[in-house]
Amino acid sequence: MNHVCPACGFPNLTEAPLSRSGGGSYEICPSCGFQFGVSDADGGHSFTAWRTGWKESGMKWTSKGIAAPLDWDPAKQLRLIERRDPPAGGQNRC
Amino acid sequence: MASTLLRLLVLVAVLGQPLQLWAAALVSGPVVEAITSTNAVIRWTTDVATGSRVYFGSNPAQMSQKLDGELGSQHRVALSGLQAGTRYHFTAGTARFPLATNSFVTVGLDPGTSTSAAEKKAPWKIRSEPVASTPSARESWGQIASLQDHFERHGGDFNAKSPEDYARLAWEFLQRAKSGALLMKVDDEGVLRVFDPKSRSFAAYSRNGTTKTFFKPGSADYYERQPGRNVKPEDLKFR
Repeated sequence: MNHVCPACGFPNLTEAPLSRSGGGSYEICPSCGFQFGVSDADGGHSFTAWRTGWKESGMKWTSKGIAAPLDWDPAKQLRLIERRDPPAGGQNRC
Repeated sequence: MASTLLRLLVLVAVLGQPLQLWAAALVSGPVVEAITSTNAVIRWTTDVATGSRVYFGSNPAQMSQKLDGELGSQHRVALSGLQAGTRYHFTAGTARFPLATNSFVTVGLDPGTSTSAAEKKAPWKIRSEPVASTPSARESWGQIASLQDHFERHGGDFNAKSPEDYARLAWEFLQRAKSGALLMKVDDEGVLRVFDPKSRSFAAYSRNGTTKTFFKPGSADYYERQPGRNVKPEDLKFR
């Protein structure tokens, strides 16, 4: 089962960003580079603030080891996540 | 004039060895690998560049044999001329300070060849001793496709030279945790979190023992804020 990145909307994370225990998955989103349990819990970044930074830097694919899907559409995934989690909210829900 | 010159020379001599004046911290290891009946390689990593020195011997009270390796933070000392089926005790450290003590057993002679005295005395001890060897990154890293990104982001925390090197250091960190030297906690999903307060290194491992991440958190209370209950090596499900 794939999971959606709460920061950029990438729909193919391999793990849930947050476990039931409350810890991050430590996965690095290959799309926007957010590391769950590190970018937030150590770096202090909220999903929406990270999303804003990623948008402003041109919504580039960040992974060096995982290739972007051929049909990767950053604008589309962003629209979906912003519909679910509007930019006004600044805090992570985890 | 002569005494001023002497003082200057002493000052230069002291300042010329800054790496040895500050106590180095162990980042990972020591791990013993490539163990044969006569050879073994001891590797460890320190947070700063230091000399490499190993004292070893079959009697833990008399580790009188000494070998030096090269200066650096990635240490490797190769032992040779060892006796088959023998437990060797060793201390690995800098040229001036011991950092860790451990032991290993050399491989016993093959069945069918002459039997060593140690094997005659206690053959089960020799045959049942696990040989620690470093697994490949493919074996030790959970999501191998993600290794490059973790290395790019966190490899610099440990002076890792490559993704493979970074994965090896994370695996060695787990070996230190298994020996009881580090703090450990496990959450309800079986994720093991390990922390070394001295080097401030943190790693997380899946329930099967493969690495999820390895880095040095910037926040002081990061480990304390992670979920899980404290565990000891004997509580771990995997080996």
